[in-house]
Amino acid sequence: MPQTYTEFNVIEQDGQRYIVAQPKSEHEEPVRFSGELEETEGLEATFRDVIKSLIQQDLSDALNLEADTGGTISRDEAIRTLANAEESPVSIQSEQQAEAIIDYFIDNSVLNEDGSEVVILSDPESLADLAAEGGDSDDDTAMLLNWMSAIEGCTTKIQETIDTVEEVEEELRQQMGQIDVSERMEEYERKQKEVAQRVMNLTNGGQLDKSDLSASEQAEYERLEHRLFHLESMIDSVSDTSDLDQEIQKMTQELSMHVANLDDTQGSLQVQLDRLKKVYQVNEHINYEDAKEMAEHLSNVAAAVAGVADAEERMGEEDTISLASSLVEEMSDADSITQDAGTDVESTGYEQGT
Amino acid sequence: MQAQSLVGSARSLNRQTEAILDERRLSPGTVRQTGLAQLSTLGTLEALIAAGTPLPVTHAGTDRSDEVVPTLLNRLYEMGSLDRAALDSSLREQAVRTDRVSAVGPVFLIPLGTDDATGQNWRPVFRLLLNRLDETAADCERVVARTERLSSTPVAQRIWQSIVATLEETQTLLKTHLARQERLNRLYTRPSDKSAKFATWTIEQLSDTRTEL
Repeated sequence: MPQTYTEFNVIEQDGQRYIVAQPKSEHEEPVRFSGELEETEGLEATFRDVIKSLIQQDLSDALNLEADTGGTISRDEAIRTLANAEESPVSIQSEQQAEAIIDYFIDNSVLNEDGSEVVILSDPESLADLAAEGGDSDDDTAMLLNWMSAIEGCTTKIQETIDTVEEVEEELRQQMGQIDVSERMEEYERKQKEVAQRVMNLTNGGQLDKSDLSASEQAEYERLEHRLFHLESMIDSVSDTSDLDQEIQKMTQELSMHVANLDDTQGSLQVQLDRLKKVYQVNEHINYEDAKEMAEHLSNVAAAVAGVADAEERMGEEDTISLASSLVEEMSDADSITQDAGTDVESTGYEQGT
Repeated sequence: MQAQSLVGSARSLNRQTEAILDERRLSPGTVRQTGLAQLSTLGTLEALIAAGTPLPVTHAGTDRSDEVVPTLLNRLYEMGSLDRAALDSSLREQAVRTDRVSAVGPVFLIPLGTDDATGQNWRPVFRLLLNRLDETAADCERVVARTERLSSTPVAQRIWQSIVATLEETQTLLKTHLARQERLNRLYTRPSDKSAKFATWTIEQLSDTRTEL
C-alpha cells in the first residue's frame, strides 16, 4: 500500500510548531500534527514514545513476529492503534493524523514499508552489521532505536503483568487468609458437638420423644435440630471443596513461578537493552571476548525463557478451563442435593425432607 | 436454578424480621414460631447455595461490569418478582438486550447456570445475599435485644440468637465461595503471555545475531 502523505513541512502557528503533511492525491486534505515529532533521531526524542506505544499496544495482537524477518504490522492496524491509543505521547485525534504520522516516520526511515505492512523491527542481522561497521547507516540507526523501544515497551508490559499478578495474589491472600479451612472445620465440629449434647440433655439421653416435651422444649428441640443440620452442611461444604483448595494452591504456586520467570526475562531484556544502548551511544566495536561471553549468557537466558513458554503451553487456556470445569463438575456431583427452582422456598426447609 | 429462589429466601428472611420489629408488643409465641420459620428458610437457602457451588468459572473476556443484572436483582429483592410492566422502559430494554436475562410470560427471570452468559449471574446474586443477610442479621440482633424484655421465654431469645449465628455463618460460606471463584477466575484467565513470548522472540533474535558477530 503506497503512502498517502508524501510531503512534510514544518510550520509555526500561534507559537506552536506543527508538521503539515501534504497528500499525494488531490482528493485528500492536508493534515497537521505535533511538531514534537520532527526530531527522528536521539534516545530522548518524542518520536520514540510513539513507537513505544505502537509496539506496546500491538504486542498482544497485531505485531507479526517471524524469525529472521523482524516485526511487522499491517498499515491499517498501525493507523488504528495510534488513533485509538488511550495515552498518547502527542495528540492524535483522527485516523488521518495517525496515517500522516506513520507516513512521516516512513519518510524519515523510522519505519520501513513492505507492501501493505509496516516494518517496525528490522531483521536483527542489520544490527549486527551496525555493530560491526560502527553504524554508518541512518536506516540501521533508526531501527536500532526501535529495537530499544520495543524492549522498553516489552519490559513495561512485563512489569505490568507482574504487578497485576502480585496485586491479585495479595488480594486473594487477604481474602483467603481469614478462611483457614481446618480451623473452621474444627470450629463447626465443636459447635455441632455442643448442639448434639444439648439435644441429648433435652431428651434425657435420647429416651424422650419430641412429643413428650413441653411446648417450649419442643421449640428448643426444633432450634437445635436446625442448628445441627446447618452445621452439618457447613462442615460438608468445607470438606467438599478441600480438593479444590489444594488445586488452587498448586495453581497459585505455578503462578508465582511464572512471575519469577518473567522477572528473569525482564533481567535478560535489560541486558539486551544495555548492550544496544552501548552500541548506539558509543558506536563501539565489541571485541570477540565480550561477544562470546554475552552469547553464552544469552543462550542460558534463552533456555530459561523457553522453559516459560513450555509451562505456558502446558497450562494453555483450553486445558486449564477444562480442568477447572471438570473439578467443578466433580464437586457438583458429590453434592447430590437437587433443587427444583419451582419449589416454594419460603416455607420448605430441606431438613424436613431428610 | 433461578435467582428468584435465592433472592426470594433472603427477601423472606428480611420481611419476617421486619414484621416482628414492627409489632408494638411482642408475643413470645409469635417470636418463637416466626424464629423457627426463619431457621427453616435459612436451611432452604443453605441447600440452594450447596446446590449451586462451587461457583462456575467464568471465562475471560466476559463483561463483568454489566450493571443490568445487579440492578434487576435489587428490584427483585425489593419487589419480590420482576414484573416487566413494573420496570421503567430503559431498564426493560437493557434487560431484553443481555443474554443473561430471559423473558418468560410477564416477568424477567435471571437464570443461574454454568454457561458463559448465565454463569456470570451467580456472583451478583451472592453479593446481594451477602449485603442483605448482613442487614437482616443486624435486624435480628434487635429482635434478640427486644426478647430480653420478654418475661417468660429464654427459648425465643435462643432461637433468634441462633438465627444471627446462622446468618453470620452463611455469610462466611458465601464469602468463601466468592473468594474461591474469584481465585479460580484469576488463575484461569491469567494475563496475556504475549509479552513473554515477545521477549523470548527478541532474545532469540538478538542472541542469534550475537553468536554470528
